[in-house]
Amino acid sequence: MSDDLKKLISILIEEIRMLRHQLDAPGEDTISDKFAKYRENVRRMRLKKAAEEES
Amino acid sequence: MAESRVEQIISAIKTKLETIVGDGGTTYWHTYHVIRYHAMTAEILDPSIERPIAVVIPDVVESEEDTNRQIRKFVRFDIVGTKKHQLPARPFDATAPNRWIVQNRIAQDVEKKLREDVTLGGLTDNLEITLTDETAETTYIDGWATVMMNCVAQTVHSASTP
Repeated sequence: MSDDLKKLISILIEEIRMLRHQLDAPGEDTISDKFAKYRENVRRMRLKKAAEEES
Repeated sequence: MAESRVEQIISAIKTKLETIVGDGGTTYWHTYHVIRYHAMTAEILDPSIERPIAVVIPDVVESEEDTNRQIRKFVRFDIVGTKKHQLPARPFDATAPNRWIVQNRIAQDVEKKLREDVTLGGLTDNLEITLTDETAETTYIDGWATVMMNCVAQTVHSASTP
């Protein structure tokens, strides 16, 4: 295996490790994030109700 | 020119919430520090504010025009109520009241006050609370008990006087 390939593999392994860490320990949501999520739920609920009324 | 009907409604909601006077639950649970803001942000969770906080946040306004040049508007807004509240270190250590009860008391106060006069003194045809969210997924922030309530006010006005 060439040195370049080894280097590339080690970079990829490090990237995967960092991504896994981010997935395992996501940053705590702020109140703004929570509020955005809430507003998204409200809009989804409104669309669902409108679709039900039309059908 | 007078402020728009939408502005008058949002302003009336704030004024209405300011008239809630807490008496330990006989009539209302709390007296609130009421503000209007464009969104719910970290600056609002100010621990130096002793009272529970009620935030009025305007959302979209939907409009329909009928054949008589009358405009029906659905003025959507949110009320976010929040109170300082520490969870116990262990879930098994009970606190009284617990977080959900604190949230629910705020929701109860707001609902009772809004339903007192759903016309807001003649500004609206109806005022509804369409969703009350007390779930941890969307409301939990360490040190606070928060409830989010989505409301809609319906109003009709002539096309020439928005």
